[in-house]
Amino acid sequence: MSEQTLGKRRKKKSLEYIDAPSGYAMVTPAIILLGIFAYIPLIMALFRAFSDYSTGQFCGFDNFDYILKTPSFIKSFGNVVLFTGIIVVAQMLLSFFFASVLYAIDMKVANVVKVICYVPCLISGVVASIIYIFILNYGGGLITSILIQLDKDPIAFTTQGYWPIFCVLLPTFWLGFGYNTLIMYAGLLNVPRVYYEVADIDGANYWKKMVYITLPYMKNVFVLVLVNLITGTLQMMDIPYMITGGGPLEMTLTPSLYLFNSFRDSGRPQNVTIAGALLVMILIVTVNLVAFKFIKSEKMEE
Amino acid sequence: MKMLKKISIIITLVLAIFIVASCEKNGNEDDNKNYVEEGATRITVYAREFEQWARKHLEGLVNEFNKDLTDGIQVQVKFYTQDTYADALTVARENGKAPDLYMATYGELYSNIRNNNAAAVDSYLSAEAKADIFDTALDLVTYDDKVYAYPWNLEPGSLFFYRKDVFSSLGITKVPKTWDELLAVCAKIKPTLTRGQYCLGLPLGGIECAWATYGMQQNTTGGLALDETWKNHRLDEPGYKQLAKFFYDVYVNDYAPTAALTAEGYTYIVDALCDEKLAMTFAGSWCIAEIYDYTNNNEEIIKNIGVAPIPTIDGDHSKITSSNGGWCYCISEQSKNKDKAARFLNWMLAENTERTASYFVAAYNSKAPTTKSVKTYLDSKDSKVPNEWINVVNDVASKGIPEAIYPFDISLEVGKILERMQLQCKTEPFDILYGKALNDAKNNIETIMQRTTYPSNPKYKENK
Repeated sequence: MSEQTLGKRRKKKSLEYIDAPSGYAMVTPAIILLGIFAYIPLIMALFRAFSDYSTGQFCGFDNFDYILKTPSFIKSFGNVVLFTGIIVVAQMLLSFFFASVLYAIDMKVANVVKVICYVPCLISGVVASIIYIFILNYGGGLITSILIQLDKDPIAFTTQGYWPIFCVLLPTFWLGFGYNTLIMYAGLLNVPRVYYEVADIDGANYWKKMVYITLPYMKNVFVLVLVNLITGTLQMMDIPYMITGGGPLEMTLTPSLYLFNSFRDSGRPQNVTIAGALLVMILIVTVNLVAFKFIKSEKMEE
Repeated sequence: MKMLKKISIIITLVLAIFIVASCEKNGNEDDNKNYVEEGATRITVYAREFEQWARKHLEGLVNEFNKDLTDGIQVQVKFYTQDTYADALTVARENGKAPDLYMATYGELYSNIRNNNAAAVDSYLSAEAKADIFDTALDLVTYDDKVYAYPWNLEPGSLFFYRKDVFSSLGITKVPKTWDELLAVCAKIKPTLTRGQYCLGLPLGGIECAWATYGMQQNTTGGLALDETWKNHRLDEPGYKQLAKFFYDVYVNDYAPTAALTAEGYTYIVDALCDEKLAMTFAGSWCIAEIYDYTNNNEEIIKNIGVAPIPTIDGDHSKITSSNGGWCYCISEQSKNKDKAARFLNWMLAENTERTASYFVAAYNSKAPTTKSVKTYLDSKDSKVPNEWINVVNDVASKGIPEAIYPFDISLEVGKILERMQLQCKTEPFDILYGKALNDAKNNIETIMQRTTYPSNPKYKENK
């Protein structure tokens, strides 16, 4: 080994050594916070999920048995899978479509439209729900008032037919649409224009450019949006809680809402609630892993 | 750059102040700073806020109790709204800071006992005080021969409120006693209504139908969803089908709204009656106070409202027509000062009849007392509330059954049957719809019964 190479290595090693403390210093607060607010509670939750609420003694899978033999909780899983399917498909398609429109139109107009469609993202789910309640309320909401003025019967949006699902999904969609559109738009702007120019010279039509250039380049963006959407929708709680309360007939009950109600029930053994929360966590992690597996994220070429 | 630094320091300070302030004032507490007893033991009470008059009344009592600076007890009450009360209680217990005293419904009491959150109070309750409690009320707080709470009030969950002016304008002279009569009155009222007005208000949705129909279930079927062993359901009793048919008939004829008319749903459904959106409604006895509060003591509206026991299948009002909701005070099993907590409870609820009765006066007699002495006292006093209303509350409460104490999921299954009658009545004929709803409910109840931790009926063991 030459003297020069050894010298370089020594220099590199000493630099690593010098950098190490500052690196640790920067990482430590994050590790402490994660420990306090994520890992320690997770370990505590695991202990609690396997112990009896009254005695604190180990009780095996009793708490899981309780929650899995709770029909409302099981139904809530079916609901949230349906909601996730609808929201993911609708958001992915419409956000991508809208982002493509933004990409195609004049930059100045696009900037204004971007801000307009991003504004709902700044509103919390609770506030959005209140806005929708004002619109949909059966007793005196905006639509009811208009219908009564038109001598029509008011619509019980929160209880009739499939309206409750619509009432829950519409605000959810509205809140996420701007963010997802912006992410998609940023992804589209990242596609090198030179590819399109070359494709134009070769005589490729719009669809060919879409299939062979845009979509492959957008793959990582799709993964990001997909994972965010799946995780967010599976954890959905505030909007159904505010608008429908999980009803009617538990049609809009989600696992998180069920667990929230269970936590608020001071008579219920809370270790059961914790066991349920762990099950939801397992579901979310599994679905995300599957999503990552199916759409393998690739490091973009330099 | 310096300016940026200054701004960030100011923001950090403001945030820190907000965080500290919010931590300190958690729970909307009343510090009762006027009466500070040095070295006294602090007894914390977690209370539901209820109405403003209820809050003021409890604050007044606590202040009066704290005036005595020699008893070594300082009571601090923390009020929580309906939405935050259970959360606060759970969080406090999870953090090892359970309050010394808390309010619980009779329905919740047993779960609190099972979860080691309620201490037996026998040793704190004098024989005289115990004898003064009505048997109906004492039974609600007694498990395995031990008394676990101080019964505070009884609230029948189902009474019948109606608009006298609507009845008189249509020549209806008799308050409906049976379901058939009720449906006939609805048929008479319906053509006179404008859009947004309805004949009848009922508990709506699975959860409300679960807890607000215990009395109706008892009246129609002779029991609740489970038999006394808690090992078998009773959903095949013909009464359940009749109850479901009643709900079906009401909703298929559009006599009742299919969405809540008030923000609080069934709890304050009587607001819609005051607003003339409903001509009649089932509602809990607490709605008597709500009528006074909501109308701001408007005598013109109040005189047009009548109160009666709910119409039943056979119209026999000597039978049970309602469950008894209501609240009791529990001492936390975790409390280190149970004796001192009990001393405050005895002072508030057992030592002075006038003091205890003052709550019922403040509550517009919308609740029935739990002790004989208070009942006698209230009977001897004039009230601004019509005697007819007070008599109905007391009469219904005296016969009322306790709310179910088996897992609420089971009650919910009955609620879901009724909810399907309400919301799907126009999709299928009754027999088919009921058959499907019943089947689902039975399957779900059987699933719940298969839990390894499924409880047995503590009252059944007691009876054996």
